[in-house]
Amino acid sequence: MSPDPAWRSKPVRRRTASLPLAHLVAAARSGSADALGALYERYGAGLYRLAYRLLGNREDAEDVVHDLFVGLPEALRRYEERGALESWLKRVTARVALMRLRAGGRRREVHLAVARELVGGDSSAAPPDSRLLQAAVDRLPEHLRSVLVLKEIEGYSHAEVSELLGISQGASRIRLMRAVRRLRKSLEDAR
Amino acid sequence: MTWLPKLKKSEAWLHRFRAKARALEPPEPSTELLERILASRAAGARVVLETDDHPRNRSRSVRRLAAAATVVLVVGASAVLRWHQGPGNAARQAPPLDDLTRLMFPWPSMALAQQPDAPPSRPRYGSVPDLDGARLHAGEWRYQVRVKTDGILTSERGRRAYALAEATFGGHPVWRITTSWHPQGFVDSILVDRATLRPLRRVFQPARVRFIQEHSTDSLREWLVRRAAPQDTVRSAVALPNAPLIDWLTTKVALQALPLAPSWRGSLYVVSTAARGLAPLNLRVVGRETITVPAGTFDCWKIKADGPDYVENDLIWVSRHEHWVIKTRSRPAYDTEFEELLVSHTSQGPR
Repeated sequence: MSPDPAWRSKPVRRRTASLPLAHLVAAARSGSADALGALYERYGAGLYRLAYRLLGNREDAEDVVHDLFVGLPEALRRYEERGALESWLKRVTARVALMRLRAGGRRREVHLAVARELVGGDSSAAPPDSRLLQAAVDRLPEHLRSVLVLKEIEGYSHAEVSELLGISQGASRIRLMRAVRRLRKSLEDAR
Repeated sequence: MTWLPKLKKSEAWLHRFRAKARALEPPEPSTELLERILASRAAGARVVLETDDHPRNRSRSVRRLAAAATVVLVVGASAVLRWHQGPGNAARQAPPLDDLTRLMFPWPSMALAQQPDAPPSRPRYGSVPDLDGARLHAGEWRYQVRVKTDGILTSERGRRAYALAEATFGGHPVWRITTSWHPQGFVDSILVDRATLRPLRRVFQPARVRFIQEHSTDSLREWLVRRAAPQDTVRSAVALPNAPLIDWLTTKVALQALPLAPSWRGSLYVVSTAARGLAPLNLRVVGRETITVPAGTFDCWKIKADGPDYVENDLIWVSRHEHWVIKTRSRPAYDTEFEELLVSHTSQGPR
């Protein structure tokens, strides 16, 4: 499998990266690898962080970002440019990540990843209470964790969370309350 | 107003949590992620993204459709069975073969059902260029099959075994892979090319029919012979691309021939009767685990598999040295897990 050599041309990508966003979107829509690369450089890290927070492990988060950008040129044809591109991309990323969560088989990996990190994995540079906090968030059931991550960490409103998860705003509030209660108990028990 | 201090305390806690959680820095994506994305695009991979659909509505619709399809299937199958087993049956004409094929789980076959609806979907990862057939070794592997419901109730569902033996076909060296199900008593036998594992001939003989598939470089021909009425034999054929592909039943064997390593990923096309055509099987090494099964304790690669509709986030544990499948886990329904555990084997390992 040989990738399109065009994307290797860094000077071209630098020029593309400096294009106005509307031009980048138009070029990406028409399948330009340079434009797709420029969009990735602008938004990729933030979208990866969102996917990681929702899924709890790197491999799945990378798969989500991979799938997102592979499908982006075609998906951008449905983007109506009424809101900020970054918000739209985040919503799509959250949907892809949540679909993967619903597909099942994620939680055990999350636990393993957390266990690895707690015994000195690659996030050992983080302060101990940060690691405890991350572990406690990871231990939450998916339906509570999704609401907590979207509302409290990503800053979505309950209306947006309810739309993303397909639940009522009331359910979103209740899930957040339960998530916080469990989180507090989990952190207190860990002390 | 005793709740007010509590509420204030709770809000303060949440505020502190928010600040700390937002300050947590998740790891950065790997440096080659962009390269992988662009390589996938260049190779023709495409993904349809959910942009505006309401996910819950969509999943509800899918559930409703699935429920409707199940009802139709169950009602249809019982009608055929009642018709077939009912009094005075001898006087009636035998049921059409189409009805029988529908009852042959996990078939009907690809060609007998109909031509594929659409070209095969794109593989998620790069196609595996070469399977190393030289890594394969003859032997027999027996598995215990069990189903776990709600994560608690476990029930045994018999045994499954596959045997790999050297054979010849048309004067050429081939592998014969025989898969058997106990206590159902089904035996499925397939001959594959020794180097590429491309299927050549498959014979499946359940109770009342004999099903044969023959592959050539560009097509697959099938026969379904009803033992009681051989004159009703159905023949069919379907075109296949001249590309590297394996039969679904060969997957366990193909894993022995893959260059597995940390973070390895690759896609294979499988001839999938259930998917009525070719479907990419996407495989990814997600970790390393030591697991214990009835056959012993093995240091394994943990592999995630998805692709055809019926393979979604399946997990496969493959021994690191021999590349034998030690355990598989799939989730055919939300609350149901299907597991195969290696019970015994007769192989001496890689040569």
